[in-house]
Amino acid sequence: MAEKQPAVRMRHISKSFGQVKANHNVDLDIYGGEILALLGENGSGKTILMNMLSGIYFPDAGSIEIQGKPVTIASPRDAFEHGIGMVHQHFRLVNVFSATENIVLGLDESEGFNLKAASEKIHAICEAYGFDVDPNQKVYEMSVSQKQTVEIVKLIYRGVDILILDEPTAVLTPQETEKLFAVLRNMRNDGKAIVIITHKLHEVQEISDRVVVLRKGENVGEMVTAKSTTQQMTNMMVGHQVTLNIERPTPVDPVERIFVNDLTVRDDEGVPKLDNVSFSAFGGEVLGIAGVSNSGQRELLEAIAGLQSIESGSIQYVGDDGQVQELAGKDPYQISSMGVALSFVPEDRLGMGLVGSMSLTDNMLLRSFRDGKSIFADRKAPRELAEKVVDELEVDTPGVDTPVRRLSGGNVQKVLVGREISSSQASFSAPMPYAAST
Amino acid sequence: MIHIAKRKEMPLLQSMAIRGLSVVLALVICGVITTILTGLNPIDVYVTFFSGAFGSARKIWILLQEIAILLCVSLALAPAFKMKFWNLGGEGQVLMGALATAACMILLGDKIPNALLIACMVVYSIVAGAVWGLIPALFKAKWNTNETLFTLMMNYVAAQLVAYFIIVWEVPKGSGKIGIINQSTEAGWLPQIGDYKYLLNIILVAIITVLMYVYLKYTKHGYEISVVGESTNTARYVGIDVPKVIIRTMLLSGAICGFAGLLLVGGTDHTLATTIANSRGFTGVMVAWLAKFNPFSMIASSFLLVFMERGASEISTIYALNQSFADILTGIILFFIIGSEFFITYRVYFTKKSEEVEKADV
Repeated sequence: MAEKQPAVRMRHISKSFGQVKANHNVDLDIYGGEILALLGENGSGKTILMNMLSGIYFPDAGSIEIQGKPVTIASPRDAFEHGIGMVHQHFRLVNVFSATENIVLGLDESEGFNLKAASEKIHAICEAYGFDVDPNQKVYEMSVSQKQTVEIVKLIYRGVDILILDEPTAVLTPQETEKLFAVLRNMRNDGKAIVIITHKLHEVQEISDRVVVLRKGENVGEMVTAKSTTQQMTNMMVGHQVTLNIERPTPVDPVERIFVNDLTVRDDEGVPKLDNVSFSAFGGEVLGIAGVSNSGQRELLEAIAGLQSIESGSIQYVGDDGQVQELAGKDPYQISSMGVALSFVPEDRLGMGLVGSMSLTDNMLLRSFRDGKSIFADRKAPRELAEKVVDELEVDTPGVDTPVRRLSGGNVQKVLVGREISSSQASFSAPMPYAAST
Repeated sequence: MIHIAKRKEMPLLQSMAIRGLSVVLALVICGVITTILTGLNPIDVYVTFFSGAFGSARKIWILLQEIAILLCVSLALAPAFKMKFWNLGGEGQVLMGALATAACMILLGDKIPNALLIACMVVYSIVAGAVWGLIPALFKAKWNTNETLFTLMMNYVAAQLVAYFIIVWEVPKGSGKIGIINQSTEAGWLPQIGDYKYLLNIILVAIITVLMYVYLKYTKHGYEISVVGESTNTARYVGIDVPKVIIRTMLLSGAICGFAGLLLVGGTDHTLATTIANSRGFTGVMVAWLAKFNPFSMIASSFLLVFMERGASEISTIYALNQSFADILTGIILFFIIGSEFFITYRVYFTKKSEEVEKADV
């Protein structure tokens, strides 16, 4: 046999959700002793493809072979039986249980739990691969990275040889990422097949042996990591030539637009989310906010937009005429009534910002429905705006009466951005906090 | 193996065909069950079923009246449910409206001019219903309490209040019943149009139907209700005052329920009983959901439910079967109607394990 036997061979896999084709005729081979990076933009169908391998979804068409044998994977339990396990982006752990309890949860309990033996076995796994887990620690006391480790150990404990990690580094600091990668390399050297789903190119370069690129739900090609450049990967991912070296001219005449001063925000449980944060944002520049997920970025942006109640501190907006206005403690409607041209494009576009079941027109109406004295909502202007947005931003939609939910992620984004830009007249001079979903 | 997947949008014609088919299937099953259990000829049973609803002019009037009241309660619930506020308190809100109406008729009857009395009845019944809707709304808006339990519990409070006042006002003493209020003077009875006892109720509910359609579809309030119902986060994001919308909508919902109470006591029954709402507060939920909160579709869904109920109860009466048999038939019919919605939204398909494997081998 000239070729190595793949651990997993997926052929002609297709999956649709309503009218949305999530995966179309995808072929994918996964080999033992190799780290495969599944690369693609948001919404390119990476997670859905892997969910079909791990038994969350069932493909509409296509076949899956494990170690050369055709199989049907209809549930996560089936997937475990075939040695496939997945660490999801959002962990699936029981907070009040210890690491050991979480790891044995859902196993066949016919012989009863032997937690002591289990924790010894967990210990052995940790020793072998270099994990750092205290089997008796409760999940709620753990850091995000520890929780992730528990998820991985859980899979190894169950004898998984094909390990799928969905965006594993999104929640990790650079140091934690290094540690994770070291462990993944150990596992690869042990002969396990590892798939990591990602859209971060430098990580692909660093950890993977082979890259498969998905675009719009289709497999558009693969390459050996060592022989390819990030430029090649990007081009394949996006589908056309992209310049990675964006010119960044120094902002011309930056004017201070927003001062945030000693901003403190606590969540419902009283845990501080923002602790005395101060900064200024200037007109004419793009300000990036860096940090591991869930470090308070969302709270910060929501506080500025008037969606988050603030414990202390101030948020001041400087208008074009130099007039300073306090935004803290105002709701979004009050902010826009003050004439402050501020737009906030939220992270979760269909959960906040747009109404999925409503048409494009009705979504445009969200910003303007209060206009006029009449008790009736005026849909004429929003309809024109919707048509304009569709036209100018090249939104791919059957019409302005189509529910937004049926559009693809990128088009949904365009609808939202289109509305926000038009609703704030001075939008380009106004700051536009933008939360990317990385 | 059975798989369930969400369908693409189904054309209206096809979905109506599925709904129609489900009603036909329901009737077939009902016929079969009736025949098996009672040995009656199924054709006769169907004829009786239809004659229960349409058998005589009087029966048709009763059918229309029943539709009107059920539709009125459903229209009241529609905005609340569209806002995803689970108002299961329609029953209590109707009862409070009925109680307020009866109180006016008993306490003010013959003391003030009839026109003024009726005006009082309208105002107080609406206010009573609205207050009963407002209380859970305030708690939801201020402290995010669970409205499902809250509104449900308010029903029992309302029923107890009505039971109490029935004893206070009972005629004759000791009977535990109020009897027909102002039977001799007809004070506070809503005017009758010509010879048609139920026509006024029907016309009033028809007007409410149109108003509710316009309110939900074209007004700013209606738009706010949809946004809050679909996503409170989006509502907050565009600066909609969510607690205000909840309170306002529940005031409206309770007010229309209270108005339904007025129609029942002042318009048709002229008496007060704890069972006067007859579970319409719950049936109305079904009417509203089946029609996807479109007031005009709700005419059809309330017709369907009332027609089925009248037909089923006619079978029980004619063939000397008890009320439980009518309930069984109604249950079967509802099962099919609601079940058809599942097949409209989802596609079910089967695959065999062995087949999959064969395909994979090729």
